[in-house]
Amino acid sequence: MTPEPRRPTPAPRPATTLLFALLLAAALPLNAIAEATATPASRFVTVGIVVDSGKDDLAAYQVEVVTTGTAQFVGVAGGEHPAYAAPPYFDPAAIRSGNRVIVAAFSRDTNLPTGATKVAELQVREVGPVTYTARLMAAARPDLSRFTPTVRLVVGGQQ
Amino acid sequence: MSVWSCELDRIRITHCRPTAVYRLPSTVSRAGIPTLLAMAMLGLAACTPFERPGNRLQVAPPPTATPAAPLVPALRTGAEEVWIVARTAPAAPPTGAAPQVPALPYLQVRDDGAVLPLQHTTVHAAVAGHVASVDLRQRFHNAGAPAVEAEYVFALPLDAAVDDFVITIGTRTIRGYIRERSEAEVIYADARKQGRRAFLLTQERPGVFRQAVANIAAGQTVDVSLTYFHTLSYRDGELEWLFPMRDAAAASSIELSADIDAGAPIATVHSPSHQIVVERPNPERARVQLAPQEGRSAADFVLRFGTAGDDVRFGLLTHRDARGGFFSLLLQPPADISRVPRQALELIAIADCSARMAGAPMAGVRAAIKQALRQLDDGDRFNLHCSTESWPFADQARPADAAGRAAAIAWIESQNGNGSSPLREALRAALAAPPDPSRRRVVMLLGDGRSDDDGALAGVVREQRSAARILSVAIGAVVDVHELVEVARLGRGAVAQGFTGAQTWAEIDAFIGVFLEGVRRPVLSDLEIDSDGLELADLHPAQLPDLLAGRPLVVTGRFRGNGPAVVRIHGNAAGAATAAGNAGAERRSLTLKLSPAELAQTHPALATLWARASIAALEYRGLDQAETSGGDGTSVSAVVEQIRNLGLDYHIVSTATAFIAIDARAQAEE
Repeated sequence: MTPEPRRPTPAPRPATTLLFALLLAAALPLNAIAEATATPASRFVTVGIVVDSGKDDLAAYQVEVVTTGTAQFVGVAGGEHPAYAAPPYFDPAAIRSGNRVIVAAFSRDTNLPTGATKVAELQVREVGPVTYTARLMAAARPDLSRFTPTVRLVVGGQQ
Repeated sequence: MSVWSCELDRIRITHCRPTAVYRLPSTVSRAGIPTLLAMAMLGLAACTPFERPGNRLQVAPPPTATPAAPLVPALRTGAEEVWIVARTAPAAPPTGAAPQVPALPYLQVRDDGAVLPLQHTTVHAAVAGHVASVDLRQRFHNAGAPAVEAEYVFALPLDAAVDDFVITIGTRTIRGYIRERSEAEVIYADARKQGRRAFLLTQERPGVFRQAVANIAAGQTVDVSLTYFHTLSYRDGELEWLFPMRDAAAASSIELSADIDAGAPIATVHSPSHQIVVERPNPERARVQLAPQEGRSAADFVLRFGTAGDDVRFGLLTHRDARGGFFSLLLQPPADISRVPRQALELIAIADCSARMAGAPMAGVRAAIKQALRQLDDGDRFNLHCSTESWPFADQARPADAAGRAAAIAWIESQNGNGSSPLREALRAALAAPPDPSRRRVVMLLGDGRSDDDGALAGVVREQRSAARILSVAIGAVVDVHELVEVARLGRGAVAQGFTGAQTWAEIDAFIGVFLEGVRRPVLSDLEIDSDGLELADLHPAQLPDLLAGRPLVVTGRFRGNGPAVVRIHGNAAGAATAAGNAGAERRSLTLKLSPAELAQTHPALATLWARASIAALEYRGLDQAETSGGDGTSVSAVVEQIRNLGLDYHIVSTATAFIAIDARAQAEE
């Protein structure tokens, strides 16, 4: 599995920031500055969970996503493949811990995904820099056998 | 059909529909069975919801449209120790410059008065014993305004535990999370401001919910799906599931179905309200569908089924998971009560006759009292008290003979609602009067619950610890039903809530008759539960009411122990001596033996219903007691924290927790 943490935004250099702020203050009327400072510090992002099962049919998965920074899970959507189009179930106890979520789903469809497939999409509210790490907890083929596909995350809704 | 269950401690997905009985779909392919087995072996979510019970959502106009309309809804919450007969008030006609809004289900758009009409409703109920699991899906469409924010208020049963919230917009389906309410509200406001589609489901008070949606673009259709659990009511020897569909059916097409697994041979299954199609796959099960031509019938849907025999029935469901053991006990009276001796009554009616009650409410008070008087026999006694009068109708309860009743009717007819005084002293006097050993006392409290300081009436009942049964009749333009429910709960009685519609009054009249007849015929009174082999705790209701004719008793609680065990219910059989004063004591015990296997069952709905009952107890009683314990803010916050923790731990909406669902994608990404 190859978790793909979100690339943190480079921290602005203090001198550059100060200079930019002074220029902005000189160039803009006061009400514009007030609007700029009212811009919410939070942002909403999607975190796609992509499971790559190679040549195997993916009949079930359970994935844990752990965050650093301030991230609130605010919903979970289904994935791209019809077998996983419905939103997965999740563990509320994990969410209560504050920095992780566990999602899981299975499918009895005969048409199951192979290769890299987005199976779910977390909806997240971020405040400040946030990184994500995924861990595959379990996965299964339709014939009951357990296997270990890779998992990666795609932040921002882009795959 | 096989029955499958989630074992939550193994699969580690505690929200794998934790409150349903999971069944293998009948359509599952043979290849799917090994898949399910595989999931179980792997410790994955080897369960799938199949037969979810579905029921009732009553959409009420938003408070802005009907400011005087009480928003308390539920009909006959039979599983509670308090019965409630209620109707939401009819939508007030728009007046003045108020927006012209339909009195039908709709999402009320903020600011401009536009609406998102309901297009279609799908309801499915899966009934297991006396517990219903309900899937309700409603489709709304924004045909006009760009990117609107809208909200609507709706009612569910008072004990409904909403545990799933799923939104579908086009091809996007998003499952919501439970969060602390204040946190969810901040997230919702933030998402709305940032142009994200946002959905918030909050509980305003027990049984009343508010849903808000933001940034629904013109032309978009939104499907809102809720799942909730509740216990069935009971009427005339049958369990009853009701879905208040009159508004939904009038506004949209509706599909309704129910799967019943009674756990015992079903003797009757029918709908007194609609034509239905019934299939009977086996004696204990029935599948019911609303007949196609009934899809727009403007009446509430009622489904009844009966299994009751000739004696008291006693059943216990259990559930165990990582959180411990949970149980739900059903004590069902016999359908035929002709053998239960009829006892004499002492009825004391206390009416709020203040200026608030002038007009239609006072007419309702008079009608209810006259109805109660009609139910009395010559051997009964009664008295009346009106809050504007210094003295009651009589110095002491007088015989309910024809002359007495006629004089009482004339007296109550003269009361017009032209004064104001609290009811607590009259209530205290009624409860404190020495018991009449030959009669069962019923105190009937009529009014809007606002005559006294908050909690004052309930405080009197707590203080007096009387054996009298209390019937609250909620009447008024604005009713504090919390106070009246609490009074009736403490008084092991019932609540009837009415407004002014003729149909509602007919129901309440009938209910008063049923209640008084039930008190006359207590099948078992002064109940106690104990067990060998199990430690029973956290019971709801904490104070067990009598088992009355026509009314089952449901007790939910927690247990420790693995069994084998014996659970017993003790009570005074009909005609036996009680604190209320009846002769011929005969203590009767009902015994149920439970094996370890029976105690290891999986009925996850029981954990959710227990949590919901605990939250209700805290909301009704905990907050009141905290507020009346000297204004200690810490106590109130401690109660709120308990509610919050239960909501989060059991993943249900409460006054302190809410569902939030945000579509984090910008709409331009689609």
